[in-house]
Amino acid sequence: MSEARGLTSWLTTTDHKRIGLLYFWTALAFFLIGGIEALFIRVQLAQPNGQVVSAETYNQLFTMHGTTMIFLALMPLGASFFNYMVPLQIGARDVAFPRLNAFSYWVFLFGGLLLNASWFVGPLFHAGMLNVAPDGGWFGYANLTERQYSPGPNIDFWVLGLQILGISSLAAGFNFIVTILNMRAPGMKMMRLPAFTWMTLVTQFLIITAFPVITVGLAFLMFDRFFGTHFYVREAGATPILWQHLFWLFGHPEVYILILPAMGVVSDVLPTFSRKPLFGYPVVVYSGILIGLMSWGVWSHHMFAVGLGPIADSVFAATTMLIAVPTGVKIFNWIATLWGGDIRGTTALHFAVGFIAMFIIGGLSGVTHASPPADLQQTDTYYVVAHIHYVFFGGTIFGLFAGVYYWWPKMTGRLLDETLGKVHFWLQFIGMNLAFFPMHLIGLLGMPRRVYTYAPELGVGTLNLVSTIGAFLIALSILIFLVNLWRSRTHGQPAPNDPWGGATLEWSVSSPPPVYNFSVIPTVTNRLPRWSTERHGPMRDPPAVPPEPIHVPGGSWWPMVAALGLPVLALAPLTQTLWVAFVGAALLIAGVYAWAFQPFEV
Amino acid sequence: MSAEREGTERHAHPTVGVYLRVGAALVILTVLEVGVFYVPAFHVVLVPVLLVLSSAKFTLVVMFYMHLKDDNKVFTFLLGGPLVIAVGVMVALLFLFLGALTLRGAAGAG
Repeated sequence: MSEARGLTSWLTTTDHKRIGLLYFWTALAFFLIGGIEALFIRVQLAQPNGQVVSAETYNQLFTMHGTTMIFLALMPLGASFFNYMVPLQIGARDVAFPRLNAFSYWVFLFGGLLLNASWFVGPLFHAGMLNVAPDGGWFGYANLTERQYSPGPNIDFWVLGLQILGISSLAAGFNFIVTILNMRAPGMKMMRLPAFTWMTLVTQFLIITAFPVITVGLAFLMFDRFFGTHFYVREAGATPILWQHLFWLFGHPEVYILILPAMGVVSDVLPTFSRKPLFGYPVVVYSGILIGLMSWGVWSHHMFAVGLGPIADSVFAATTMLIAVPTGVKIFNWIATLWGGDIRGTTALHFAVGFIAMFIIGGLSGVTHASPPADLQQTDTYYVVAHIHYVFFGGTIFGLFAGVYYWWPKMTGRLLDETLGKVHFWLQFIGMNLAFFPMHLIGLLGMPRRVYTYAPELGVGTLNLVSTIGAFLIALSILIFLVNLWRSRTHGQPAPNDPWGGATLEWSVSSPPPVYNFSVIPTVTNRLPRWSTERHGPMRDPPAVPPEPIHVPGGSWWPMVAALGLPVLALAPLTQTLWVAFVGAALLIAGVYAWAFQPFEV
Repeated sequence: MSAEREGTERHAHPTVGVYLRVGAALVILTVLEVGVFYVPAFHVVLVPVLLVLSSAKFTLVVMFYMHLKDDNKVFTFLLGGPLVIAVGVMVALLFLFLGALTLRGAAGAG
């Protein structure tokens, strides 16, 4: 029943809380890597005719920045909270499949390492360092990704890395769906789930439906590159537009895969710090579900410039404008939650309110893309870069930081420093607006995205310099955040069970929670179990000491061994060495076999 | 344990005989699928016939071997919802790929 310590216990862990922390630290590391790549991009663009990096390196930088931030930083940061918080919020002792959960993490780590190894392994492919990282953009448009136009291993790393990461996401997706549907505590009806858990559920459905599409698209590309098929080869009668459809069929739900968890965090943070129930909880939940459904009907708005015809353009313009409705509903519900509340201006609340403000800007610029004539002027310019960063940085990152400041005491037992937190917030808030708002103007003035330099005659030098200053301000804010994390280990105020007065079940147990989570599985009788309302009093927290022994399953090496098989398998086509494929397959099969037959009672 | 799960556990599994009969039905449907290919009269409606037969097989598999028939209705919804999305997306893609030229031509723009 006591928690094991030491490196082995972390490598073999199947505890959702430890896996959540592993996700957090790994995703944070990748976030820093993606941030450094962004700084290089901004330094290069700080002035016209920049010479800091070559065009080839620049292509790799923006490709890896996008790929890293989306697949290796934002998604897994969300997964960190899914892992740590969802079982606690639903009153469970763990996820439905703890070993599958460990497998998901190790696959994510190895997939991320494989992708990033591409920065350094150029000499193994008879190329220099910084020469074989993916360089086709995070969207990897065909037919530039075909062997004919990208003969090096750059795109191979991207294809294989994303395939591996997709396996991680799918495994986690099924795991969390089963967990949320089947592992809820007695009385935890669906409409009593915390909003964050609801948005997690919607996100997982998007993951398990959207990732197969990109998997198919990538498999076609893999076959084209390695086995000479012609899925995207125009000369052979195929159309590269197929890739765009497959990619954006995945890509737009992916936008909501990234934003819905942040919306869930904000929907939990705002009620706590305004001491009011979430305004219109059912409507917020239904809006989240509707956003998930509607995200399947908007993908071609990424393709207006293709020339799909006026009918298709009109249909997708209409669906894109319509999806703003449930999003707007959520925004009004959040504002109404704050209205008249007993507001406490904590750092978490600052980030949650910052999320609302920045996401409104990102949402509005998104609506401007929904109009095909306007979109044709904006496509492939910095206006789109501004939009995506207001959504993902102003939206997802701000929302996730709200979650970090809110749940950090629960996850570590230490409070983060509020003063440092607010300095972090304001620097990041000012920095992001300096960095990304000028990009609207840069784009409308005609600067295309993905170009490594520009002429002074374009007249966007000053705006680009401001943007670069903003990027470094963001970097400074992140540095302060890291200091805050580090400082909290020794100087952080010890956190009680419930430092904020939260309404949900995670606050009913110690900080950090014991390995078994709940000494007694709680019985839930209402949606705000820890609050006293006019209809009910607060629940009684579970006793600190379990009344009877609780069995906690031990760790296992096999999920990690099985996961290791995947990057080894990927090395086979990369190195064009058949026996490596057999080693990878053997590791995977042996890992899964031993995992399946390892007794649960260890 | 959630209310839904309690409800689920009350359902009994089908008997082995039911599984065998469903298996036999699947074999017969497969034979029909292969058979219609060789009957010239069916060639004009081959695709719709094969789609109907495949749908019947799919329905039998998910009802019995995936236990949806006896399980909580929420699981039928969980399968059916994404299936509807997938079919919708496929139809949209068919329109976009096969209809784009016609539509564009009719509108005189591109």
